[in-house]
Amino acid sequence: MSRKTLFARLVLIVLVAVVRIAQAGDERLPAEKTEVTVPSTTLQAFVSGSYPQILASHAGQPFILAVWSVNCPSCMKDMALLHQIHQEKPELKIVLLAADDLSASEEIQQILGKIHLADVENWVFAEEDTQKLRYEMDPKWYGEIPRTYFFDAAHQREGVSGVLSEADYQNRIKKILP
Amino acid sequence: MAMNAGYSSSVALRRPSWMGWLFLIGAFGLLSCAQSTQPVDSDASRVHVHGGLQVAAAFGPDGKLWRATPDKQHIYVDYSTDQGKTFSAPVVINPESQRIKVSGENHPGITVDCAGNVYVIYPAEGEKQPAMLYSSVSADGGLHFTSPAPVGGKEEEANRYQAKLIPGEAGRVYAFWHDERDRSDWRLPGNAIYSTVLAAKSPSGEMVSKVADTLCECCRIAAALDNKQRPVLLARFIYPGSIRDHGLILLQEDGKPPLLRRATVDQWKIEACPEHGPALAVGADNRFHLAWFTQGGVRQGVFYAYSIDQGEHVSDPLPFGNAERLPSHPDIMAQGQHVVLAWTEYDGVKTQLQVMESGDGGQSWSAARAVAEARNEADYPFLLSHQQGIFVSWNSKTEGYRLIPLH
Repeated sequence: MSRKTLFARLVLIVLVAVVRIAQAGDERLPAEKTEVTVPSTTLQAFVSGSYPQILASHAGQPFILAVWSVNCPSCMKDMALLHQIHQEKPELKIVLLAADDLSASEEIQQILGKIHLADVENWVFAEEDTQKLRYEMDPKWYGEIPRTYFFDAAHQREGVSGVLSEADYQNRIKKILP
Repeated sequence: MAMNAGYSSSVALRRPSWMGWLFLIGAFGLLSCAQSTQPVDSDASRVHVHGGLQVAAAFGPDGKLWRATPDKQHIYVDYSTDQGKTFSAPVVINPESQRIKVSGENHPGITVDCAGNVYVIYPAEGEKQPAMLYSSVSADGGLHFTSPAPVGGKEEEANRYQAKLIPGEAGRVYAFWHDERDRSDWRLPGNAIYSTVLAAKSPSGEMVSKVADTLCECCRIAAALDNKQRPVLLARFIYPGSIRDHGLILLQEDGKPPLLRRATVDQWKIEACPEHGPALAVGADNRFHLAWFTQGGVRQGVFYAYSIDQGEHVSDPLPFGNAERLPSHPDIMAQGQHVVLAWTEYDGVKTQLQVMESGDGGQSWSAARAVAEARNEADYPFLLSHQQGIFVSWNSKTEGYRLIPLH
């Protein structure tokens, strides 16, 4: 394990958000209600080996893994629907992975707070070689985002790129839930 | 991009206002550099010395190789007189540190005009917005650079990013970029392309013009000069039905609006950030050469095509690269009938730099050959040319910056 990886794992695991609420321009963000207290977010450092770790920690469970970025306007639409799904089906685990880097942690946490997804399992790319990280997850994926994976209980998965409609989500969730 | 900042609204297919005056200046302006430059794709970029992977490089008219290198807070410029073997002591462009925001699709840019003025453009956090572009110029051979200034005017709070510089005639340098100033609602997709002309006396441009709308938000813009020295752009647009295919934009003279022509029909129906912009070159015969990536319903992968009538018709797309190895981020260069493609492939462990060439204007092609490898993170490849030949400018984390001669 490189020193950098070690550092990422040991030091960067927990980052507590100091969220700036409702500053100028926030009305342009997707979240409709920004004037609420935003919970703190734990961001986990996604490094080489994190993907099997995520699978292992959800062994036997269906879950959704959604890759997004602070630089991806399309992703915000997906995140709004994911929040809705999270409200309706809290039993369905949602894992979010920000395809940014650690320097964007504060921005990531602000957005997660505003879109009410701070309380799901949240990860951020924490190695510079993001191509390698992507490849470990999916050797066919060119990196376009949003990218959403639907895992059934046996961890057979379907990966989809782009914003999904509510119907798209519901159909796929039906397939993975027992 | 940066969604937490100004979105203003470009909506569907609004026709752009245009920038004819820019042209008038560019095409008919000062004759201080009478020899027009070849339409060389100037956005060479790469590697790094001080930390950043995304480096830009370009040859000056005297054959010097200029390089802009980012780190987290600064942009450095140095040059090489021995084709990239050694470099001069770097000069810091922004003595006051900034949050530099480079990425694969959002490289810094560097170019040198025919008089030897060195122009640099780079993305950094703005005073009022997360994503802003700054430019600086040196009129004394790189000894001193002007204090970086925001490109496209200070009054707007919208994000600007993914700039493309190309040197035009008469010492003018065109800059094109993604601009969010016309977006009012983040839910409505699409940016605008804005443009200005940089000059030694106006390093951040004076007048700003809108070139096009409905630009896909996360893909870099490609640009080249046609045989009348007019800029031609290739970019990923959002067509009706959320189709993210490519269009050519031909800038016109006399204040006429630019011509917009759909160039690829891959039917990539997706609402996403592909982060995979196209490449464009124009040969001396005015043949347009296009390279792009798609995951469309019609075809998937990286493709090449040419047009002999400025984009009114485009040849059948030719797939290239090993589809099993994520062929990505092509660059293209044309010198007469000689056309070169460079791209990267990844096998899970290493990145290979692949090249293939055509000697007949893109009709037939050599087999692809690997010209370099990188064991860890690698930048996009950029093709550069000078009298000494054609080179690939390529940065990678472990191997460092390489200027790879192709002949």
